[in-house]
Amino acid sequence: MAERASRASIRLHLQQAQRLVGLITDRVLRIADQPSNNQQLYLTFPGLPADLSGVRLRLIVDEFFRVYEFGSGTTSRHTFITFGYQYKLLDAGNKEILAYHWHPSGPSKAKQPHLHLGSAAQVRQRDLAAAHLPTGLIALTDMVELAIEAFGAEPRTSDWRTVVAEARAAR
Amino acid sequence: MKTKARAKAGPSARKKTTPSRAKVKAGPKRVAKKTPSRKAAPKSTITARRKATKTAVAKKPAAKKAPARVKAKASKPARKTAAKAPVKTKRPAAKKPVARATNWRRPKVAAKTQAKARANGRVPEVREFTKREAWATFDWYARTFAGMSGKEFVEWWNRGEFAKDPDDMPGVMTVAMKLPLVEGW
Repeated sequence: MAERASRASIRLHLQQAQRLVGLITDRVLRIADQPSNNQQLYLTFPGLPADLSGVRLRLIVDEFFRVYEFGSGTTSRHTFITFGYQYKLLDAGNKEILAYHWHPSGPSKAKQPHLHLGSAAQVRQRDLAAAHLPTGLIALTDMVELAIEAFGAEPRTSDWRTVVAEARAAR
Repeated sequence: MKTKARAKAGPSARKKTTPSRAKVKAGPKRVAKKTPSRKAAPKSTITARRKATKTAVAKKPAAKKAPARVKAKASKPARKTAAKAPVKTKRPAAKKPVARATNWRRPKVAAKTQAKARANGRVPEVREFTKREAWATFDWYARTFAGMSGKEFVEWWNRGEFAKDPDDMPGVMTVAMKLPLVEGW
């Protein structure tokens, strides 16, 4: 029962992520299982980065999360906790405009969530271009909203604001 | 009168100058006639027969060459292959591994179900990666952002040959975040 419930909740979570991403691209996310890494799940686009609708920009999504069960029996509840991400916005030539990173595990010194400004952002100051600009935790909802509002991606449905709000409330 | 005569002579003259199809087909037979056969050898003496057979054996390769039809048939497919051959050789000239990665295609079944889901206004189902898809994806990222194949990247990463902090190299970090795709298959 617990397995079924967790599967159902995972499916719901993935559906929500797909619904969000579906606002700005026609691509479908895929999931990879990592049994060796504490049952961590990895969500990303298969193949090339996703082309955004209405603009010549591309999006890379890499999200790592785990599912935790609280309570037992009928009162059990599943929570999804993110353990790292990479949301990257590229231009048509696959040059990086900006990248939100959080990789708490791994060889990098930057363990806190941060922002990179890429070569396509055309930052003249070298220090700024190389800096890990600290940020709070960024979610997929934030990235989708940013793509629409700041970078001109055309939302594929008119009620995109409600979709984003619902996803935000469900977090 | 003269013109009439020419007109009358015309077709006959043409017939003489341009050989008909039947004649062309008969061409190889003529050549074959030239080669001495057993029948052509004098029957009177045994020695003469032997000589004739010897000459026939000696001239056999020439006789084989004579039938132009057979040769033409044999040469036709060779010409075809020769014409197609450069096209085949040109294809691999385009960078093969990169093309593989960039020509990534969605699985047909998944694409169909996704299209159906979209048409019905439903959210397409998020499925699990297959091994092939995962490697193809990783390989494309490694080639595009790190300038090496996916396998090479994994080897370099495991040996620790990148900079101390891979986050300082944006391309490397982009690929490194994709490593879970190819781990554990």
